[in-house]
Amino acid sequence: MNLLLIEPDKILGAVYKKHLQRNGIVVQWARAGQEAIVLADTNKPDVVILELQLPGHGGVGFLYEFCSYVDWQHIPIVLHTLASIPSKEQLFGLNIVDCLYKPTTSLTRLVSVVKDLAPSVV
Amino acid sequence: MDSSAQDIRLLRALTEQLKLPLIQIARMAEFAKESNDGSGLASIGNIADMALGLLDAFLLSADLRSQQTFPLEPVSLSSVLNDTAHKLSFIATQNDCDLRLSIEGKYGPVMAHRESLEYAMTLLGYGLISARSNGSSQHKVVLTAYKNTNGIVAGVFDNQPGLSADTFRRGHALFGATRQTMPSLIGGNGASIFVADTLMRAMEAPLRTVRHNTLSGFAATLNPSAQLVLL
Repeated sequence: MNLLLIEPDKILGAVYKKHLQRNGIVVQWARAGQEAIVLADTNKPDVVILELQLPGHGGVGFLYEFCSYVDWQHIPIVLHTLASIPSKEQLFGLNIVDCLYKPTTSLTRLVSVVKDLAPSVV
Repeated sequence: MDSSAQDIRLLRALTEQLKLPLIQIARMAEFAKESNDGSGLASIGNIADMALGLLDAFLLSADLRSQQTFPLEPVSLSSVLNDTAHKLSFIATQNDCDLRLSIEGKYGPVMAHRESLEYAMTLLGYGLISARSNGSSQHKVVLTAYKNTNGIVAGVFDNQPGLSADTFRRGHALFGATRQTMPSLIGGNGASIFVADTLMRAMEAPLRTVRHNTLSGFAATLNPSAQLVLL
């Protein structure tokens, strides 16, 4: 499984990436929306994990851009964020499959959520 | 805005900002435990110290604003910035940031409250180092002091775009009320920057956005100590 991790914090991103890789998941890590688009374009991910509090246009802005590309509209997206989760209306049509609140989501749980998505990944 | 309303806004912003270092500590500790890898333990301690510093800076700002008179004294700016650079070295290394010190010219002490000034510079440095590194080019942060016609300017600058007076002004209006106060600048709420500003305002030296050489940043103008002039 090829996972695109969008995490602006360098310390957290390094920990998440190392832990996910230790669990057999291939990880591409972007620290901002534009970088994530470039990585996805180069190597299409199977799953996206996204922190909403991104600099620049923000995570919601990134979501709308990402989901505007037809080739990426089916890619499941997991919100993994410090921010409060947006409403269902805001997330409609954006292929969000799970919403995880960072303070209460352990590394173990994060890996479990990603691995549970494996059967749905084409 | 009255001071209690401002305290509440700062407190809200502060509690949001503290989530990040606490999550860093929690996840690093979890990773260290599961992988039997203790190499991150020193980092955990440093992150905890920075988070505690943020809390202490907020408490200091609340205490100082409640005082009738403000205890200014002659303070060596180079000494403050040197100590600040030392405190920030860990965060700079963690974020692959090139942290520098630039004391331009020779001048005597400035009138300031040393503890507040050091907290303010440390918080500004923390804010710019941790939130502004975008990984695409070498992030440079410089702790700077120089003289201008109004006094001695002390501040923290970096080489990333997006900082302007308008951005800072809008951020002031939004902090405590929204999670991203200056989104073109940083992803979080920038509480460390606003706590730093509160400390500097207590010394009647509010922060402003400044361009210096090719860098932009936050800086305050301090009055030189008149003691040597009298001699």
